Amino acid sequence: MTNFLTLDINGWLDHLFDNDEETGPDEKARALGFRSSLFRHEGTWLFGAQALSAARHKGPDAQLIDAIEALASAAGHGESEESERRALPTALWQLVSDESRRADAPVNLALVVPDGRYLGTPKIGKTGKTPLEVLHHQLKEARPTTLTQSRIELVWRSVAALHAVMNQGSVGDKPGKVLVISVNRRIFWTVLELRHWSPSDNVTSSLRIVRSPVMDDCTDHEGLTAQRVSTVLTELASKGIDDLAAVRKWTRSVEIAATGMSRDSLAKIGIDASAIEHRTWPTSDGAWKMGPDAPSIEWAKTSLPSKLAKRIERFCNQEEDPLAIIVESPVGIEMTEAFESLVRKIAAGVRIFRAKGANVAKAASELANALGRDPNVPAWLDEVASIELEVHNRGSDDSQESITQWMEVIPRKQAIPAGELYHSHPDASRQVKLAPGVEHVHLHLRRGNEGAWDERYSGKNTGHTIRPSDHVRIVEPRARVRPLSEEVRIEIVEHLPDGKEEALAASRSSIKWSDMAKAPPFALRSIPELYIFKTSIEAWRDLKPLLQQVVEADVGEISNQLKNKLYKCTQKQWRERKFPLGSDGQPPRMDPQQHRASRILLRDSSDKLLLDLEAKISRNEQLGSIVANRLHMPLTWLFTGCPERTVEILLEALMHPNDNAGRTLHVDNEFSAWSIYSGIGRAVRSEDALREIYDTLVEEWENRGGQKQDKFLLAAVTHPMARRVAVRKVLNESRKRFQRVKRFLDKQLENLVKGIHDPRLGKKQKRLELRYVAMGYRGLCQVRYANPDWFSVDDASTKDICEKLLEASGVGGDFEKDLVGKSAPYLIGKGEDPSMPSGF
Amino acid sequence: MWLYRSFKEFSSEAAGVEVAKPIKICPGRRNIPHSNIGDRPPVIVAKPGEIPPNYPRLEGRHRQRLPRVFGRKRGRLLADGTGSEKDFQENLDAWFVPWRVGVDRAMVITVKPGTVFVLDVTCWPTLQDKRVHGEAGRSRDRILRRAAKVLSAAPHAFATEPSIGAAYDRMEKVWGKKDLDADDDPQGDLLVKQARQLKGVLEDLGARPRAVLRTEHRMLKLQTVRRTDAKTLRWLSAQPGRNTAERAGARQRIKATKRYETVATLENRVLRAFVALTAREAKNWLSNLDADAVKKERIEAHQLRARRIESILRARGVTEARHPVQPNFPLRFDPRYREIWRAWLELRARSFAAELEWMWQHRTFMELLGLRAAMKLHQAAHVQTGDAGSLAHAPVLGTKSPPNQGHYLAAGVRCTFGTMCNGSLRLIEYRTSDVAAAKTDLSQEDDLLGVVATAGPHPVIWWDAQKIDIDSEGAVGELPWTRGHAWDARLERWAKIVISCDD
Repeated sequence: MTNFLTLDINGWLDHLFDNDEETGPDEKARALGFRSSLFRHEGTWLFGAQALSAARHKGPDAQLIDAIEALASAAGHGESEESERRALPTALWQLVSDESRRADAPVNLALVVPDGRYLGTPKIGKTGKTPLEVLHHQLKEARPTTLTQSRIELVWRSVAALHAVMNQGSVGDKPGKVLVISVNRRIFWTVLELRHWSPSDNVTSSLRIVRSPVMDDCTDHEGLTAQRVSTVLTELASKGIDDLAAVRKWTRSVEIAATGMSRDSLAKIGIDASAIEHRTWPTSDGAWKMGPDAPSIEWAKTSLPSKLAKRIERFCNQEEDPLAIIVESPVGIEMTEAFESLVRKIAAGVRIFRAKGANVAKAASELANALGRDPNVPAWLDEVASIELEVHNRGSDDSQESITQWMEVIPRKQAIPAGELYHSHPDASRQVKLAPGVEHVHLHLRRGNEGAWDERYSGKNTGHTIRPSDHVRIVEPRARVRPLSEEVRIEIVEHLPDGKEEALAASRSSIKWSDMAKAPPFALRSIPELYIFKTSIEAWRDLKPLLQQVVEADVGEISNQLKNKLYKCTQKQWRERKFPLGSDGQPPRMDPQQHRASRILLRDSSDKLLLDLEAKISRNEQLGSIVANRLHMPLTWLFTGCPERTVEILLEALMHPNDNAGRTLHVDNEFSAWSIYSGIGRAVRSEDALREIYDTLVEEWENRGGQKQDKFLLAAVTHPMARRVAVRKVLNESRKRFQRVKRFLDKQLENLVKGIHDPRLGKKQKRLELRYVAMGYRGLCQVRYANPDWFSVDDASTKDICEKLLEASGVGGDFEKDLVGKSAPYLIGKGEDPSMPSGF
Repeated sequence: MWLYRSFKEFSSEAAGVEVAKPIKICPGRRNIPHSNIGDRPPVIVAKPGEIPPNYPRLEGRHRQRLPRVFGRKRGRLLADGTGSEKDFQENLDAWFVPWRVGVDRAMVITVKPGTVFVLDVTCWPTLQDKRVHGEAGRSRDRILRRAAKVLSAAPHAFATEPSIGAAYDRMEKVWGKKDLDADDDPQGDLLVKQARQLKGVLEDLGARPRAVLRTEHRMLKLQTVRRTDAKTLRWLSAQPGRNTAERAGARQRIKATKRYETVATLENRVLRAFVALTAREAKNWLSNLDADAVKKERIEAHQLRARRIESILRARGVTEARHPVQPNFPLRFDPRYREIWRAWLELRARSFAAELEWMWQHRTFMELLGLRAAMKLHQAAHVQTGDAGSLAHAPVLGTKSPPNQGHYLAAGVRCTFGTMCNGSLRLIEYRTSDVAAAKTDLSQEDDLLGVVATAGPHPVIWWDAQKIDIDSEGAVGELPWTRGHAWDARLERWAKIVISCDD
């Protein structure tokens, strides 16, 4: 058994438990005297009866600090000085080092911490730590270098009290809840649970104490001891003692009288009630004054604090499985007799047990020994508060209003061995989606129970900025919890299509609960998410055999027919809004091995098609325009699955119509030009190609007068804008470029409103133009992440654009109307926040 | 400056029981034969200012300042038996001289620069000496250890008991505990532990101690020269002659390097020091007659092993290492020598501590007496009248590095007792000789020289002045826990007198 020096500081009758060999088994748990105090003697902090005695020896100027107040100071409570904060830890280590020197082995320190207001609830203070953590830190800091081997364990008084009662074997072996009421300087109470728990499935479960950080206490003057002390003081005053402050400071006679214990029972805890020291105190002139004998007191009727009475009632009537009530008081049973009978009156039918200070100290020592020894036999269990994440749950139909719901990150009723760290287990049901293109993930989390939620938000300010993506990301929030401090860290793990998982690339790997804001962050209502395609397995299944055929054919022998089939297939899918590939250019998610095979197939087939295209161009083959178009259309209709090089070739053809590429691909033909422009728009991904489009192509349009409606250019410019993350980077690079693109879009919109359309291809495609313009503005909004003032929400011109867009939506069909209806509000900062994760 | 032959002589005269004849210390170096000094440590007495600060001091491996005997007031010291009042006024200082250090034959004490005396201590008892065994079959060092245990239990008792009264009750229990020193044998335990741990290592080292190749320069025959170095060439070029043969001279020898194997390394010197110390310690321990048979057997085997290795090393010219030693690579990292190095340090520390305990036993016993007197006072206050007890008590703290020249407590016991006397509170201040207080508190200087403790205005306690017959003064002689010791009875009587009202 490890050697522990266990101290129970409760502010009334402190106790100590040591494994000193020289004391008998009954003497190991000892009282330290009533309201033990601390006194600084020549640089050494003294503790216990010795401190009071030394202060009396020093004389009337000596400064005494109550141990319970020193404990509160050490836990960072109040505005005490640094030396006062260190007083208790230093004094305790002094005891430990004396003990270890005698034992010739390191002795460990265990401290019974009260569950009351200061330490029981994990409130995070100014230092960013809970009082319990501050206390632990102070104890660790004060530990002398010779004792670095010594452990520090903190044990809850309620748990120790229940353990002490369980040691007597009277609680039984049924699970249920136990209300522990501690009667010390103050009264506080908490409900513990006895639960069957096993570390793993193949170990039989046993009954363990589960502690959750929910407790309550009454005000100082409602405490039983405080009431009794004031009765004694009134009695003393009536006997003509005017020096009550001195009596309180220098003697413990008031406390002794307040316990109402007989001399014999006091003698049992080592206190001689008749000793002369309880009746004398030093006066300022160096003499000693003597008071009268302890008064005999008629005790007034005890009353329960109303809060406690209500809690007991609720415990007995509403709580499931009320098992027992424990009344814990360090002085034994005499003082709390009347109190207990009051509790008994309310709690009819529930067993009531008593716990004494010595037993609690002994139980605490046992618990301290069990802590951290064997995770399968925990000292007690800590309840981990459940955590939930708010997610969007978009209906299958896009038109439906999206609803939000809470998703569990940590399920209810989780308990882990005391002192351990909780890790949430991977769980597919907790996977959520992150919208494409968002740079700040806004998490809205809540912790606790129904009706008492602690809600937190993470956002740009709390620093969860991620690298934006073109596609939907599937992620899973994971939590790590340290029950001692209740500190939670939320980290987000991304599930990659190939089955691997990795931490989401972000500005920080995990967010601390205490770092998260309590107020909702500024919602991103001015930046829409990227527009993406949802992959469809069906579409992929249709496409797959064709790609297979491409791979199997030789480069020169890919028939026009096959290319036609490929193009038609993708075309067909487009019309039905079923896409074989996702916005990330990848086939739909399936099992990782198949996914890998599909990717290889896609890569091989597209490489082959590209080779074919390049070969035809380099050979300067004279092909019919339809055949020439079929060279690149199967590729560009793969959208992001199309190799980058294709876009380069197409751009090359546009820039130099008289070169090989231009001639082979029939740039001069209207229809071929359309397929090239729109193909570029569909497939462009690289920043260089985007710069080329925004600089060269749009500039050419401006040079041509900058007035004409040009649906070809619209296709190339706007298609990537609403879909690619690279666009926002390219636009943000230069304000000139951004304004050029904006001018182009503004003009196109203006023409649209005026009814001027591009007549090429033999028809006016109003809807198409509207769709492109709307997409273009969605893209322009993306610059707001970095440069919100370039495209300001509040500008009059922006409002004007918004109105025009809504006006122009009249020419569109349902799809376009819906698109404009959803997109236009973003321009003026009234769109829907995309940054919240969404569930499936 | 005077030298009292023993503390007994000193305190007897101070208490006014017997007149002693101290030796006058003169400047220069002087040998004091044992016939002059007896078999107990003497006490040095001087007038204030006669001896400069930091003196007198003990020389040798335990070099240190001698501690002062508590108090300043001359009392009846050096009154030439006349007791003439005028001599009583002048203050005096006194210093303890330690007990014999280990088995040293002489003790050198520098009283002040230029004044040195060398004590012949061959007849003084050593730690292992049978002559000072207590009558109850307890050896003196065992009693000393028991005293140490009682003293070091005091700070804990005072710090953790609910009241000062309870702390004294606890100390009473510790004092009377029969089995306090039952299985207390740190020396034996350490030797047995090392015997067990080092058996294999010692066997191995005895068979093959670590050897190194060293190079030396010698006159070698030309044909046997294996290698040359710069020194060889320098030497050769300085020789007369035209070629090597001429330069090699008539004997055809040149100075050249020769490699040889040796075990005379630092690690083996430490090994020898360790085995020598082990053999010594084991011998001392084995002289203890009532030792446990199993332990004895093990330690005998260990001693034998150590001796064999010692003789091997001695034969191969390895000297004993002397402290302090800066550990070299093998001592720190060679698995065999690392063990030896650690064991040596441990054993040294243990024997050093035992030696220190022995040297300053006077002070330990005086501290114990002070504590015991306080315990008796407390008991008397309780037994005699319910209305008496301690009002205030200075903290009892342990020293930072015990034992500090025999002291286990950082400061002496000081407390204020209160008794109800004819309806009014009568205060009794009790205080023992106090190292810490002597430095700061000038009032402590008013105490009689050599007194252990004072209680109230008058009654004092003396140690080692048994023949005292003044009832109001507590005086005890023999050690506690020996057969026939008079500690408790005398102290009880003294406490009763102190507490009683009728003075």
